[in-house]
Amino acid sequence: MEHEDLYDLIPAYALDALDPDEKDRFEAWLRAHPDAQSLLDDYRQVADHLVMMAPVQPAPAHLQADLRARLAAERSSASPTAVSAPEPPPTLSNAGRTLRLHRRWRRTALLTAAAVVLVIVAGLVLIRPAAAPAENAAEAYARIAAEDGAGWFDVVPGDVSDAVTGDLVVTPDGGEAVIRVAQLPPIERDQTFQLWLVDQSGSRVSGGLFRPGTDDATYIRVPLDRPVADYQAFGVSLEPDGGSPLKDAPTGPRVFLVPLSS
Amino acid sequence: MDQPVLSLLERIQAGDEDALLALHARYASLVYSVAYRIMNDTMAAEEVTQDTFMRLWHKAALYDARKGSFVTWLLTIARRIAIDTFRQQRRDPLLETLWIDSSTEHWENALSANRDGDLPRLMKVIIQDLPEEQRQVIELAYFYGMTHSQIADYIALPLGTVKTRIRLGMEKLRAAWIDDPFTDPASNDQS
Repeated sequence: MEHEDLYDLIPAYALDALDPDEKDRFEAWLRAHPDAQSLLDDYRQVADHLVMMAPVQPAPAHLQADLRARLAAERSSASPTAVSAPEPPPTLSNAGRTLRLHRRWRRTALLTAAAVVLVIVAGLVLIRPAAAPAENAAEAYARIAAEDGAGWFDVVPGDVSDAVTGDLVVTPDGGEAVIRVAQLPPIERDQTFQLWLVDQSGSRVSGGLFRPGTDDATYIRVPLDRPVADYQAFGVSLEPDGGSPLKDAPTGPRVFLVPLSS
Repeated sequence: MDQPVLSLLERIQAGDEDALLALHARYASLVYSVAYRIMNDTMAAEEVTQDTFMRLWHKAALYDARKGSFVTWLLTIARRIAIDTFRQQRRDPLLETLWIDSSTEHWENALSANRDGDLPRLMKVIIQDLPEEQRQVIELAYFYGMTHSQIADYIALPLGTVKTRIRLGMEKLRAAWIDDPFTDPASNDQS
């Protein structure tokens, strides 16, 4: 490749757009032509400012709370000798640990974020908790998920849609439980979702009514009056507005189930 | 009064979560904007944004003020995380340009503190004068980490054409940045 050709590659090199073999030749040429460095510096400064091509969009307000949750989760997951402070000289092993912790809680934080928006903006979660909580269901989910020894159970789609996904988190003592569910099917104005708690004898108790949100995830606090171990499943059915006409049984199709016999 | 960035970075290295949250409050929207431009998806952009600040939490010591502004460094981290995520998720690059004219002052405010060149002029060329075909190849390289050959394959153009468009576009942007009176940024070469 001629000098002129390589000189013309300076802008693309600053953009990191050279193919590998081309990049190798260019870097060899650059070492032999230090006079090209100032031009490359110009292009690098230009490249540094190409972020301006991205339209500015306000970050969702819940991200700050999510970040707090992630920091708290990471802090609580760290070993006693691994304090929460960041490690100034990073090492590969620490980076790996960080990445694993990070991945572990990433979904929690993101879905918490979605739910906070859901609850605050849409105001569509109408579930009746046993007692008015100081924190909303999404915050409770994030808190429980961050606890060592928290229990996790999968949401199993029911008869309405195969796309429903999610999970249930339970405190280590079984005293609190929150369901996170995504891709709930849309429902009519005269319909509602109803949560059911099924105990070990098969008896059902209504856990409240709610409607799907406009975002991906809905968080539902399960109103427990006994430990989770006393239940065999939690389920949600699609019911007419106002809930099932029957006090202790659903009348509509099952939307999802959370079996607790893992 | 806002604390200087370097002071906040020192506090982050000492494990002060409030310092990280302060930087998040200040820069989350810029990071999110870059992430959204690449991911074109709200949830994915949020994930990249949070990943970026967690990276900052662990790697604050790596910032070297002699090498450039903090904002530039942070947004480079965000862009690299987004590109990595984009590749892992095998998404399709967004070919059409997104632009919101009213947003330019945000970038100008954020990036002007440590600028060495003419930021408003660069911004004007990006907004008004860069031919679409040159902007497209530059955006594919910058936002998606694509090389010459990958861009040529993706938009089905000869490799030489892609190289020429990148070079001409970047020359225009550089001329605007250094305020080169011998180069007309409004010259729209259609190569």
